[in-house]
Amino acid sequence: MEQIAQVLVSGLLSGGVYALASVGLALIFGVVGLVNFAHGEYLMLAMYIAWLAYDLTGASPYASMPLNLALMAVAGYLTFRIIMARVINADHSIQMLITLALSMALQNLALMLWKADYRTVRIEMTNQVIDAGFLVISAPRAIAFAVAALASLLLYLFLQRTWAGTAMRAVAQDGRAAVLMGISLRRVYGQAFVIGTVLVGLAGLLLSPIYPVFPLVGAGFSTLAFIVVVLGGLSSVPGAIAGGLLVGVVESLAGYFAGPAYQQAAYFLLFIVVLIFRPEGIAGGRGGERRR
Amino acid sequence: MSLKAALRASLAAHPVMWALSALSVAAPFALDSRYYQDIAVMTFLWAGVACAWNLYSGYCRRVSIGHAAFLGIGAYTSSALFLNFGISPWAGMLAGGLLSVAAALLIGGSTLRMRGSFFVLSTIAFAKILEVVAVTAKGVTGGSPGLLIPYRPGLANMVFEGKLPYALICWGYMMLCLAICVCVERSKAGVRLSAIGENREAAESLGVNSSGTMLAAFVASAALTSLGGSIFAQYFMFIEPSSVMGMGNSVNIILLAIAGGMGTAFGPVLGSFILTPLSNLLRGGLTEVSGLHGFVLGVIMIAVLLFRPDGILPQLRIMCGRLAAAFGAGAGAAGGNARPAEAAGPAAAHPARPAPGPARDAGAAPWDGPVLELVSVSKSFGGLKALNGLSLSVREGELLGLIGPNGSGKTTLFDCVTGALPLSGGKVLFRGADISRMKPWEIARAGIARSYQVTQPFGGMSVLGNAMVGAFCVTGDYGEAEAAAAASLMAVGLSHKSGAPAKSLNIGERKKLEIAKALSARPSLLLLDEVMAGLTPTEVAEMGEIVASINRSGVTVVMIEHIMEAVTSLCERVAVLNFGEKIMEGAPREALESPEVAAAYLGAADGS
Amino acid sequence: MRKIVFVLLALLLAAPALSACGGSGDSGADETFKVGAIYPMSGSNAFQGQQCMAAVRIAVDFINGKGGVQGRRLELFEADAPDPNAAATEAGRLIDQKGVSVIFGSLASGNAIAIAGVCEKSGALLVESGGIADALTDQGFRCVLRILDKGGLRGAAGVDYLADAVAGRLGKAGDKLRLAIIHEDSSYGESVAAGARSRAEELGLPVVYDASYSTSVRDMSALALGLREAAPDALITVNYVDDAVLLFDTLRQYGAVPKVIMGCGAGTTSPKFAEDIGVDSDGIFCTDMPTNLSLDVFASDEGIQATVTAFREAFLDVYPDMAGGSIAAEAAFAGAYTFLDGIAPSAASLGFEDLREAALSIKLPLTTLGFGWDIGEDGQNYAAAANINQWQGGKVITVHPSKMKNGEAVNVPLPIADI
Repeated sequence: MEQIAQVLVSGLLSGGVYALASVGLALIFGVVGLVNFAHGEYLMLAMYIAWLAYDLTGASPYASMPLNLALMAVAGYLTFRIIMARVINADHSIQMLITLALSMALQNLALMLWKADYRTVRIEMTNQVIDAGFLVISAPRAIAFAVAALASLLLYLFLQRTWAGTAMRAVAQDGRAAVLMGISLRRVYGQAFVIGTVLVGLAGLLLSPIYPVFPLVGAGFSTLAFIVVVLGGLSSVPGAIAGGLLVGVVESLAGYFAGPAYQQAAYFLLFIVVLIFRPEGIAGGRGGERRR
Repeated sequence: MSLKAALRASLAAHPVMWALSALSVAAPFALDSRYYQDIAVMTFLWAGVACAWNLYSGYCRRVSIGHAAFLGIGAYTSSALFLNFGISPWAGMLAGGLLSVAAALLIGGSTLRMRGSFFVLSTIAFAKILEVVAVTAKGVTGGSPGLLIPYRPGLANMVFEGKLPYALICWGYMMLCLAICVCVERSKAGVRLSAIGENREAAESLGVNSSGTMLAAFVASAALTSLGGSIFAQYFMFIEPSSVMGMGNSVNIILLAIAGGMGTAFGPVLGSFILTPLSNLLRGGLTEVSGLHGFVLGVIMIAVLLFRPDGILPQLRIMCGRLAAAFGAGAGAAGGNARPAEAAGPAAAHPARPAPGPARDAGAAPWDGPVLELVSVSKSFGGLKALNGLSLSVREGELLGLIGPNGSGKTTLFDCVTGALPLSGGKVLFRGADISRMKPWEIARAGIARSYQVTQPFGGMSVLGNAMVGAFCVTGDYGEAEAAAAASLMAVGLSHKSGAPAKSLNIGERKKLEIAKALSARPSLLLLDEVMAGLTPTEVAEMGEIVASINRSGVTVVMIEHIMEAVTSLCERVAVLNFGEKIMEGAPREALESPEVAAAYLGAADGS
Repeated sequence: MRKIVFVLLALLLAAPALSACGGSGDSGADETFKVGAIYPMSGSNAFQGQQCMAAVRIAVDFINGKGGVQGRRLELFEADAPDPNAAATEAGRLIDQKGVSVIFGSLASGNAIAIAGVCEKSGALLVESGGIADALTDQGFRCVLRILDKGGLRGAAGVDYLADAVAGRLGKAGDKLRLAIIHEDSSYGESVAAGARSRAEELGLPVVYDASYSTSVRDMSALALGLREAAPDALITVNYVDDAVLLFDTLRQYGAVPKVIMGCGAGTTSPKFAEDIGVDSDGIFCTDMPTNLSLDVFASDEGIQATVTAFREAFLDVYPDMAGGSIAAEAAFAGAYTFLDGIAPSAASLGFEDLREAALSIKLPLTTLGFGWDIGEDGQNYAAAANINQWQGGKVITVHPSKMKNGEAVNVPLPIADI
């Protein structure tokens, strides 16, 4: 029983990070309608920024957070202006392929800039454990979980309470109608893309004390984030969080009961089963995709 | 059109690309370096695999990022059979193909109905799961250490000393895939696939069984890819899960096809001819800085996608066309046509009949009752009752007008008849048979065709190609379909546009195309949804003439229309709908004078 | 816009031509001895691949500094092989375009097998100092010379040591030691774990937990929980670097550190491992090819001692932050240097058959890896063996075999053990 509780808690903790990495994508996917396979590469980028700050000045990733997020915003803005804005109206297969090519270019750029070495950020926090009775809770994971929850809450409030957020939700619902209401699609797309990039950057910097960074670190995250987003019902922020937690728990349970070799297969299987039987996602109410 | 005819037609349309593909077999013989021969082998192999991918994903415009799974099934099946039972890879690759067919039926059966990005992601998921299976099923696959094929040269073992036999095999494989793509392009299946890729719902309304057609294409694509996988294993003589089934291979296949031009038979071949040597030479040439070759390749891909998203092939065609124009020679054939059924020729080749043939009821059992009968049909969306116990009969050969204020349920009625929406209650009888549970494509094939209020052209296809989709309800032959389509176009006065892409048409022409598309299916009942809306008065008159002549040729017509002059002049009878109910039925004059009808229109005007 | 496209197309068409020009420039007189090196310089194994390439460059520089081989200067051609398919193509390029007759490689076993397939047909030698999958020397390749031990033997060596030397210190009989095996699931981890598994079976040691994971795993808590539940006496684990650190961190956090940890190669031997987990590494064993040996091991041959010293300095110039050295690099250096210095000069000619003949007939008592050179018909170096090392004070100390050891095993059981 204690074991099962521990498995669930561990799953939830990883799930929190998956959720944070995915809410950004939920925004980009839901609002811009972009299948962004380079999403994981922005996670990689933020991890490198965190590592560089740590390596050069000894600053912990938490201390360098403002700088990191600002740089990620710039990266997101440039990517949008130079590449994404041009393919906003293109066929979704073209959008997808351009992000695949972008991910290839970014991975190799990182390889050129920082070589393939595993760079680690080892702060004191790395191995600390929060003592909660018989449960083991890793401190950096708990922090990541808490920040993820906070960031998601802020995002939710932003979407619900601000004009820009409302515009984003309107575009996600029906882009054409939103244009008729005087919303500039390009502007909203740009904002959503930048916010999405900053959020995945936040996930990256929170991960940096837990995993080493290397050029291919983001490779698995894009697909994972998509699965989370689809499970959560596309553009829904609460849905993405539920999806992230679910994937974390499934991964953890599969690892414990079936063996770690089957962890990934487990959530891919879950994904397919959900798509077949409940294509609107586990948390989503609205049906399917619209503009694709 | 027979296979031979399809090939001959393609040969005439694309002489340069055929020559390039066929003559490329000489390249490895001319190159005396094993390295360049190796690149040639891979170019052929990847060209073939990309063609196989294109067969489904290219024509349907639904990208599979999981095709490496089929590559893996082929590679592992032939290798495992050879290593464990000594079965020749030539037989093994067929076994692999069969296994891939089974896998594709399973995967396709569960994923093909998913929409756009969902399908893409599910293909990734399936490929990942198969990769995990390959890693864990050590007894068969050898797990991560992989399988090594012993070096025992011989034709039966498909193992050779030099590269040239492999070059021949891979070239043959490429030509096989290419020929299959070409034949499919000029066939019922090809036209239907393209139509599905453009607009699945509209295609279904023209008698296209989209699930069946897509599944067949997916299975064929998987089987062909699998053959490539077996050759892959025999060439490298070593396979491990990640190097065969990894996502890298899937992405590579797609990049080749996209760079060349997806959905065209020669695009993937051209893509591989350019990119496979390029990426290999870049890797060999840019060793000083690791990562540089991948970066350069990525940037080139981004640039191509940003500036030439249709791929290189269409661009080459334009350039060839300009060259040909400049030299005034008849060499314009270099490029040929992008999408199937885009040729402008056939309209001229098959002298079109002045009007479409008689409705398709000639051979059917005699039927004296109403053509269409709606028996207390209901349709609700949540709490909203769009149709409320509506009953209506349509007589043989009549031209019935369906009028009513906006939102009164007219289009919903069409959707219910054609099967686009499931009924909430009641039933629909067509010539006495209950069609309420039938799928849209079955209803279309039974003889009901429709036009859409918001026109739904297959934008990337030619006007003639658009009209051909429905023609396959009556014939399986490509040539006959072309002739039927040409006749439909002539009937609506669009013959002069038959070679143009449908997206280039103006609104009036699009409305005519809607009718021509429906007409090609030789319906006995034609449902027209506001074909006159948005047209100029001259066009309205012209359209009236077209509708009347269709009706005269024996086709029963139901038309939704707001232009009352047209309704009164064309229809003997109208039915008026309001709030999902039929409020009256009779001669147009009577309807217009009915106070109830006036109230309905006024009330609606107030309300909106 | 059109201009951009034209430039792009021109570039596309020009690139092959340019590369072809580059390739044909080396058809001059046969003055140099051309050798190739193929390592993963990009992709998931690039981390160690780049170090290996640096090591081979150093070896070639050393030999050229000594006047080359048989009076001919060495010319090194490098290639990047992120996966086996690329490795095969690149091997073809080096052999056919550049005219190399010896290839140094390849780190990943899959790459090694792919390269061997090409070398076999083209008459080039593959001097392998990275790939340890048993299959490489079990397939009858004539072109392969592997200077390292096989993976299966390495896993077995770890088990042997646990049974012989460790069990007693835990107060257990040699065949009562409860083992757990955790390994990454690529061909490297599989082959080492298979060796450990079968040796455990031979010795009758119970294996109470046996699990594999993919290196892309992000959360190892399931492993830690499983291990804690199984409560083994000793853990045998095969990892790469980042996953080794993650595994150990997770074991710490979950209170699942067993009394003895025996790492097998790559991950646990890497200086990065000790650097990242710090003082907790004290007492963790790692069986691997001999690495970071104390210079005393080379006392019998001053020349080799000097070479090892010089290599370590040169490598530190390239990788200043790797003071602990790199095991992959030391092996790559040993393979290239020993072949070029000890074998090639004595060959009747620098052709395939003569080089192979020399490689099989010459026996060397000592190489820069601490063991000798004694290649069998199958291409395997039978003088190679795994050492048992232990982390002590942030340094790798060799504790077995006795002729190479420079310290005694300490911290058995581990002071930080929880189970």
